[in-house]
Amino acid sequence: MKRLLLTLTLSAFVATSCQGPKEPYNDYSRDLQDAYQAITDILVHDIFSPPVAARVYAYSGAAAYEVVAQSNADYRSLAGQFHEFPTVDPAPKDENYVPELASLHALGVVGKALIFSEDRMQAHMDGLFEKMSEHHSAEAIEVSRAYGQRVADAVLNWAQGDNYNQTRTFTKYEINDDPMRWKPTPPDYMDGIEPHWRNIRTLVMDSAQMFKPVPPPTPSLDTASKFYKDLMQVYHTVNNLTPEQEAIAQFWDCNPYVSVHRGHVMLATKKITPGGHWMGITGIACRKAGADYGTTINAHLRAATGLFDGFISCWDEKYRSELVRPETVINENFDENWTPLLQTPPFPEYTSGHSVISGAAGVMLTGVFGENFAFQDSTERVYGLPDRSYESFTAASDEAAISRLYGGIHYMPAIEIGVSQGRKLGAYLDANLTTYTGNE
Amino acid sequence: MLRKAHIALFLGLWACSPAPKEPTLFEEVGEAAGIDFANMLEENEEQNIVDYLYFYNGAGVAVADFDRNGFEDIYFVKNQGANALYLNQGNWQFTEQSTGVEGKADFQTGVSVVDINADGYPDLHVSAVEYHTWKGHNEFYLNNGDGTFSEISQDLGIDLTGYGQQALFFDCDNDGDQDLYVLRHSVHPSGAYNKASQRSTTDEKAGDRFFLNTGSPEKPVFEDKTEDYGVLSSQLGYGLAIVAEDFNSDGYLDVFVANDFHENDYLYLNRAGQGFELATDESFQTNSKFTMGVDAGDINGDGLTDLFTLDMKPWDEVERKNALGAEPFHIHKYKRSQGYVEQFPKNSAHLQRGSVASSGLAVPVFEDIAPLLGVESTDWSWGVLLEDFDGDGFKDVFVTNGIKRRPNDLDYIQFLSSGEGANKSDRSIYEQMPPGKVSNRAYRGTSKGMIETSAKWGLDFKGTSNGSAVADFDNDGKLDLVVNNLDDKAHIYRNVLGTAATTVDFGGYNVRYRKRLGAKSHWNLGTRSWLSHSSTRKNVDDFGGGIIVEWPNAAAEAFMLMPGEHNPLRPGEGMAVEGLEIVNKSKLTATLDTLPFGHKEDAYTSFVETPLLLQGTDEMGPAGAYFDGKLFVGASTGKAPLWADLQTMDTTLLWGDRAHEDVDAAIVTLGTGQQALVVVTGSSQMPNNSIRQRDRIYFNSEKPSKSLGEEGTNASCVAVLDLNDDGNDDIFIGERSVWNDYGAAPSHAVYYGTSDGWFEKQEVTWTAELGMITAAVAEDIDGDGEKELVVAEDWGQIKVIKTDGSVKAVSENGLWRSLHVADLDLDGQVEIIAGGFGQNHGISLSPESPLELWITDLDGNGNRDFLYSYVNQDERYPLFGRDELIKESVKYRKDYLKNRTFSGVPFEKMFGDALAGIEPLSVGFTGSALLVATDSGWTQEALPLQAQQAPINCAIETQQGLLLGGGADNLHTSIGTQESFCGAFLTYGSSGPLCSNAPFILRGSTSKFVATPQGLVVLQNDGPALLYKGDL
Repeated sequence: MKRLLLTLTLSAFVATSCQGPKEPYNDYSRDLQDAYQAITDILVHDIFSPPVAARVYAYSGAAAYEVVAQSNADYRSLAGQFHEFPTVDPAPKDENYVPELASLHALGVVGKALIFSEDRMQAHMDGLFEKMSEHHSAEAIEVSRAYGQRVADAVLNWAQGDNYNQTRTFTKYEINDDPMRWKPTPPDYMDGIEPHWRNIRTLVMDSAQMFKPVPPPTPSLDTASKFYKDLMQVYHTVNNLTPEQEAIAQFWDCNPYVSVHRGHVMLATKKITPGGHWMGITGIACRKAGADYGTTINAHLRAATGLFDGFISCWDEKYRSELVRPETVINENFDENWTPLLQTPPFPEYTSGHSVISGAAGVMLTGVFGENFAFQDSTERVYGLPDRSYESFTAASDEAAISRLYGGIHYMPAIEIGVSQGRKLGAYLDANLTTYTGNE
Repeated sequence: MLRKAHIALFLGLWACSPAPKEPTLFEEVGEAAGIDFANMLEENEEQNIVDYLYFYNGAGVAVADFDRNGFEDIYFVKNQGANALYLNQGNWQFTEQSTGVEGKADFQTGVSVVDINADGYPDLHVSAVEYHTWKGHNEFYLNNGDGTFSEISQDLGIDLTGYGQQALFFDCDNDGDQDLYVLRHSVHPSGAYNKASQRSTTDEKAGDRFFLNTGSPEKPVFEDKTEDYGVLSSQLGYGLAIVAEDFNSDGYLDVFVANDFHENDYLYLNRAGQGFELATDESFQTNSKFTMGVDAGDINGDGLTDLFTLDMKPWDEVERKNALGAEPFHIHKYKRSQGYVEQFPKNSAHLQRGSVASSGLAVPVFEDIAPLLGVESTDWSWGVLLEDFDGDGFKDVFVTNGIKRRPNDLDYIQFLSSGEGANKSDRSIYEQMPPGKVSNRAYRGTSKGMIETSAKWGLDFKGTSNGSAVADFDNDGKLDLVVNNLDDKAHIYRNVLGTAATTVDFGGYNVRYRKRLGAKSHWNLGTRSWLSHSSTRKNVDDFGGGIIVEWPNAAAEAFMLMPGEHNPLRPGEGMAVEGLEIVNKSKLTATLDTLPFGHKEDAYTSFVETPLLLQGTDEMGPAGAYFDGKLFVGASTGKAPLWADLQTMDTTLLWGDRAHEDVDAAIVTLGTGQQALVVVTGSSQMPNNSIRQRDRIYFNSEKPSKSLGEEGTNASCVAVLDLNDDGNDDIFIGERSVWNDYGAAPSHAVYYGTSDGWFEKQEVTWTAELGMITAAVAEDIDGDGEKELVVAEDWGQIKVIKTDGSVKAVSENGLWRSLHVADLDLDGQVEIIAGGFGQNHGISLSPESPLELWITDLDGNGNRDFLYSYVNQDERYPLFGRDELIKESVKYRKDYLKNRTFSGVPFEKMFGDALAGIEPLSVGFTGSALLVATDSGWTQEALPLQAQQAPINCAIETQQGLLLGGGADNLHTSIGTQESFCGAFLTYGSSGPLCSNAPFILRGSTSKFVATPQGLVVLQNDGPALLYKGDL
C-alpha cells in the first residue's frame, strides 16, 4: 500500500542537479500534513462552523489529490466520481515538473480561497516554498506551481456550482412556539446554523436523503415514553459523570465557538471542529504508517469525503426532525439552572453530527489503513487535554459518538442511529469512490 | 528658588500658549477649589472585571451642607480606599475633612444622603460590595453636628452585606419619617438567560430590600418589609440605579429601578404606602436593555414626570460598529418570550402621557422618544441629570461616560479573547480589552428637541466619568456640577454663564413642599443619576407666590421667596399654616372598552427571509370596515376573519376564509346598485398565484365570500372609485412588495366594475409608474368634483392619479404608509395628511444627507442583497455592521474578517465599484407630513414632534381634530419597537399643524379606526379590538 512516487522524485532530483548541489528532498508527506494543520488553525481562528469547515478540507484535498491522480497512474481521477467534477488538464510532460510541489500548491490555493485569513495561509505557503527553493530549481518550482494553479482554478470553478453561495441568503431558521421543536440555546441563543446545508451538492452520495435515518422517538413528557427515558438518561448521566466519562466528553467536544460569559465579559473559546479532529487523526495515522505523499493525500481526501457527505446527510435530518435539545427541555420542565457539561451547539439535535461524521470518517480511514489500526490521538494536546489511545478507527468513532451523551448535548438515539447512519454512508463512499488503484 | 522660578516661567508660558477660548457655560474649577480627589482603580489578577463584572462602574458623589455653614459640601466615594469629605468654605474654596467618614469596606459604590433623625444635619449612607475576598457591609454615618460622624448601620439594622449599589431614603407611607429601599446589583452570569419567573426567588446577596421605618422622624426603627410590600429580591435584579418620584400624582412616592441586562426595569407604584405594584408592563412598551443611570424630571414641561434612562449605544461611527449591537429579530422575540418586556440597547427618554386606571391604581404611561430627541446614543453612559442648566426654561441633559476597557467589543469577543489554550489568566483576558474613554455629553433642551452641546458647555471631558451630582456651590441660583472620575481627578464645574433661578434649601431636613394648600406636593429627594446624591435644594421658579413646607414631625409653614435668588428656609421662620389637607389626584385618561375579539398575528416574520428590512412586510393587518350593520375584522393567516354585532357582541367566525391575511377593506357599489365589501389580502409569506393571496368580495355578512380573481396580490390597500368614467365603481388594489423580492416593482391591480354587478381585471399603463404602495384613498383632491386616486409609496412619494391616467407626485421621498384627506386648516380646500415611518428611529438623515438603500445581487448568487448607507459625523457609512453585511454576502467576510477592518470605512470606499450604475432608493425625510396644494404646486410640512414618535398608520376626523393612530413592532432590532405611541390629536393653529394628547391612551400597533353607530372602533395589529363610546 505504501508507495513512493519514485519516478517523479527522481526527475526532481535530476532537475536540481543541473543547477548545482541541491539536497535531495522527500518530506512532502509531512509538508502536506503541516499545510492541513495550517488550514485547521485558520479555520479555528476564523470561526468556521463544522459543515463549512468540512467543505474546506474536502475541496482543498480534492485539488491536491487530483494533481497526484493526473501525475501517477496508480491514482484515479475524481472526474466522474465526484459529482460534476471537471476533467482537468493532464500533468505537464516537463522534466522539471515535481507533482508534490504542484499538489501542495493546489492545496494552498484552494485552501486560501475558501478560508478568510488569507494572509495567514499565504504566509504558510510562502514559508513552504521558500524551503522548497533550497531543494528545487526555480524552473521546477515554477512549472509545478503553474500546474497546481491550473488544477486549483478548475476545482474552485467547480466549487462555485455547489450552491454554497446561494444558500447564504436562504431563509433563516424560524422559531415557533412548539416546545419540542428546536430553539436557540444558552448562553448566546445563536441562530440555527446552516438550515439549508442539504442543498449543497454532495460529493459521492446520490442525494442528501440517501441515508435518511428513521425518525427520532416522538417527543413527549409522558414518563412511559421512550423520549422521556432518553431525556432522563441525559440528565442523570450528566449529573453523575465519572472522571473517565468527563474526560471523553471534553476530548471530543470539538466545538469551534464556545461562548463563555463571565459576568459582563464574553469570551470565545475556540476549538477544532469534529472534522478537524478527524483530519488530525488522519495525519497521526499517516505518520504512524510512514505513508508516502500519495497515501497521505489519498487518506486525507477520503476522510474529508466522509466528513463532507456526512455533514450533508446529518444536516438534512437535523432540519427535517428539528428536534429540541436536552438543555431546552430540562430547563423548561425539570431544572431551570441545569447546564450540560459541553455547551450545546447551535443546531437541532437529531442526528448527532459528531456521530455521523465519525462513523463515516472511521470507515474511510479503515479502508486506507486497515482494521485494528491502533493509534494514540494527540489532537487535543493544544487544548491542554491528555492523549487518548484507540484500538481502531471504529473504536475512536464509537467513543466520539457516546461522548455526546456524556456532554449532555444529545439523546442516545441521535448517537446510536447517527453512528450507524455515518457507517452506512462510509461503506457506500468506500465502495463508490476509487482513488488508489496500485494494488489492483 | 531657582526651581520656583522655573515653575513660574513654565506656568507663564503655558498660560499664554492656548488661543483664547470661547467662554463656556461651565468652567472646571476642581483643583483651584482645593479638590484633589481621584478614584484610582487598582486592577490585578485577584481584582478585575473578569471576576467581578461591575469592576469598572466607578463610584458615587454626594452633595449636602453637612456642616450647615450655608454652603454645599461634597462627599466622594472611592471604590478601593478612603472616601473624602470636602467642606465648602464659600468663595470656591474647599477643605478636606474626611476623618471618620473614609469608609471601611474593601469595595465601595454608591452614596446617599438623608437626615435620619430630623436634626437638620445630613447623614450619609455608603454602599459596599462583599464578594470574593472583599469584606464589608453597607455603612451609615450619623452626622453628630459637631464635625464628627458615627457609623451606626448595625444599630439601625441596615448593615447589609452582599452586592450593595445604593440606598434610597424616602417617605413611602407619608408618615413623616424616612423609609429605605436598598438597591443591590447581581453578579449572576448574564449568559444564563433565565426565565423571568426567577425574579420571585429571593437571593440573599443580590436581592433588593425594602425597610419600613416604624419609628419616628427622630428615632428610626427599620423593619424588613421586602416581601410584604411586593419588592422583588432576586438575582435577576441587576439593579444599578434608582429614583423616586410621584409619577402618577397620587401623593405617594413611586420607585423606579434601572436593571442591567435582560431583566426589565422595575416601576413600583406606591399603593397608598401599603405596598408596591409592579407596573413595568403597563407603563412601558420598551425599556433600555442594559439600563444604567436614571433621572426623573419633566422633560417637556407638561407637568407630568418623565424618566430618562441610560444604556451604552455609541454615537461614534467606529465605536458603534465595533460594539455588540441589537440581536436578530427572531432571536430577540424568542428571548422576550421568556417573560420580559421589549428592551433595546439604547437610552430611553420616557415621556409621560398621562395615567390609565388599572386595578385601583393610576398607572402612568410613557412614550419612549429618545431617538426623536437625538439622545438615544451617548455611548457607555453611567449618570444622567435632567436639569435646566442654562436657565432658559427647558430641561437639559448631562451624561457621564466612558469605561476603562470595553468588554463588548466584537473583535475582542471573537478574536482577541480566544487565544488557543485553556485556563487563561484574568490579566491576559482583561488586558486584551480595548480602552473605552469617551467624552461626556450635554444636550440643550429647546422647544424642538435636544441639541448636543457638550463642547460649548465645557462638559466634553474625555475619560471615564461615573457619579455625578448637581449643586449650587456659591448660592448664586445657577446649577453647578460635580463628577467623580475613574482613574482621574474629580471635576467641579462652575456654572458661569447660566441664568439664575429662584432656589430654596431646607437646611438639610427631608421635607415635602408644595405651591399652595390642596396642591400636589414634592419631596426634596437627591438620589439620582449614578450612585450619587444631588443637592436637595430646589428650583422653584414656577411657584411664584411662595411655598408651603411640611417640616418633619412639625407644623407646616408658608414662606415668601425672593425671586431670582437663593432662599434658605428653616423651621420656625415661616408662617404657620392650618389644615394639612393634600389633594393629590391623578389625572386619569378616558378608558376604552376591550372588545371580546380582535386580531392575532401569526408567527411568521419577514426578517427570516429578508433580515435587513427596516420594517417587516408582514404584520400589516387587520382589515376592518363597518358594513351591513356589522363590523368586519380581518385576520392573519390561519385565523378566521369575523363579523361582529356591536350591540350583542355576537361574532361569526369565517373559518372558510382563514387562509388569507386581510390587510384592508372598502365598501364598493356594484353595477347592480347593491353594496359589497372588498377585502384585500397581503402576506410576504407566499407568491401571488397562491390561493391564499386572493382578494375577495362579501355581498353581505351572511353569505360566504367570492374571490375577485385567480391571481391575488400582496396587497396593502384598496381604494374604490370610478376610474373609467362608466358610472360603475372600480377597484384599485395597491401592492406592498413583490413576494421574496422586496424592492422590485410590484404590479398592483385594477378591476373595472361591470353593469351585471361583478368585476373584470383591467391592465392599465399608469400602475407601472407606482412603486411599493402602502396606502390608497379615493378623494377629490383638486376640487373638480371628480375623485382622484391618491397612493403612498414606501421609499417613494405620495402620488395622485387622475382618471385620465396621469400620475403626479405631490411629496418628497419618504417611508409613507398611510393617507388621510381632510380640510385641516378649514380653508375650504383639502390637504393630504401623509402618515410616514416617523422620526423616532435613531438613524441620522436629512434632505441633504439622505438614507439610501441599494438592492442588488452583490455576489451573483441569485439573491438580492441589501445595503443601506447613512451619514454619520459628516461621512457616508454603511448603516449596519459587519455581521449584517456578511449575512447578505459572505464574500465580504474575507475583506472584513474583523470589525476593526470594517468600522469607519466609508461606504463609497467599501462598495463604490460594486454599485456603479445602480440607483439607490433614497429618503431625506421619514416622518409624517401635511401636504398642501398651493398655486405653485404642492408643499410639504412636517407634522409636529408628537406625531413623529412612531409610524402613523391611520387617522379619523373628530370634533376635536384629526385623531392619529400608529405604532409598529416588526421593525429591525436596531430601531426597536415603536409601540409606545399613545395616539395624538392633530389640529391646525395659527402657526401651522399642532398636536395634543388624545383623550385616551392607545398602545401597541393601532392599524385602523372604524366609525360605527356604537362608537369608534380601534383595530390593532396583534391586539384586541377596542371601543370608545365617548364623544370625540
